[in-house]
Amino acid sequence: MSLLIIVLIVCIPLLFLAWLLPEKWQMFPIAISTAVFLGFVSPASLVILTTSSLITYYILNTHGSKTAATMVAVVLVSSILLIFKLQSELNFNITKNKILPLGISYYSFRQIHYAMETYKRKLPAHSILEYYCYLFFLPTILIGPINLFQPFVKDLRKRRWNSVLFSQGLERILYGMVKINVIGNYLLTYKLNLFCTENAASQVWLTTYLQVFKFTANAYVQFAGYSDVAVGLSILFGFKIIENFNFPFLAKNIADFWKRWHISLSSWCREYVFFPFLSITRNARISIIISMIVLGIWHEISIRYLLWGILHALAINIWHRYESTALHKKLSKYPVFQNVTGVIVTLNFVMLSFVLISENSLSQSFNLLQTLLFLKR
Amino acid sequence: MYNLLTKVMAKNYANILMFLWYLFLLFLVFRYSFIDSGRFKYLGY
Repeated sequence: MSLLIIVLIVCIPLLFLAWLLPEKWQMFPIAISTAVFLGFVSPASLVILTTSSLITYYILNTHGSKTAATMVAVVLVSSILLIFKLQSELNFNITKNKILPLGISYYSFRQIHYAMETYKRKLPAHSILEYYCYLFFLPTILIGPINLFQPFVKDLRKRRWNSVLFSQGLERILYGMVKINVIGNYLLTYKLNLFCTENAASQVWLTTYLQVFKFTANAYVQFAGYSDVAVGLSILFGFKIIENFNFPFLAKNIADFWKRWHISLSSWCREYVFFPFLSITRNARISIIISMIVLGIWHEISIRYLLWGILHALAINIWHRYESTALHKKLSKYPVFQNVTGVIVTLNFVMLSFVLISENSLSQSFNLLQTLLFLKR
Repeated sequence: MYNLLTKVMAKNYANILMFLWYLFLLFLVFRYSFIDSGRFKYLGY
């Protein structure tokens, strides 16, 4: 049974508790059951998340110097994330069996967000229980989005039963499941794959192009579907969390694409990597490259994701350079032409960049790129 | 979609159509839930 189905089943009794218990006890069952769920599915995840979250909270809320406390917390959380990510990619074990804690990429970035906002003194007064509820919120713990602390606490304190919102949440979960199962699994993974296999010998370029389209579209549909389920479940519990996708394949340029694709992660990188590095280096291009490298290796610490991040950074920098040229200004007089061309170019660039991460090795990716770019017969 | 339906037909018919639409989607979800999505099953990490 997939983790998503387990989460959905666990959420059914929790919903009753979250709305029927006396108001001040309503959030306990969610946080506690998330801990129990993690304990059953991946005990290591429970130990790591509990320990790191308690240490982070203690350091940030008891230490006198906010700067030192934030630095220690960020270094601690980043180190834990790096060690486990490197362990899963490279050949070394820090535990008896190789493990990658569930949802570690998401909750590490949530903890860093919390630390940075504490440093900026932008957080409302809150208890450790509210912090614990934020990190141990079942709908978002495994599959994101990287939701923010401030709106979460606001909803936690002001949530009220609303039957219209509740039905919207159910509808959202259903649409998410349709995206995952019907469009992603059936149409793209099964049907399109069948078509490509049958025609691979006679139509090499077309089937290669369709395979690349399949990977890109499937990545979007699956991830957007999981995000829909997470947003829908959060609505059922009375929380409005950040949207993760906004029709990314309709992006008119690559900068626009990153405002529509995995919005919570790109916003996180803009806020906590791009702006700090911009203030240090005073160079937007370098800051973009560093942000996109962080964004790339967040997915997986490997050469292919590093190259993927750098490629997108270069594309964003080229786009910003192009924006100030006379040609762009001239073409702005024809918005329909510019928009249609922009959408086609951006989508194809994104698909080509996904070749780097869709294959198991870089040599396979380059082979595929050679076929797509007519460099190989 | 519901708002659109209520503009072109009576609310009762719109409710029935929406109910049937959800049933159809549920059927599709269960019908194709057996297919594995390959590497995307690791999204939880």
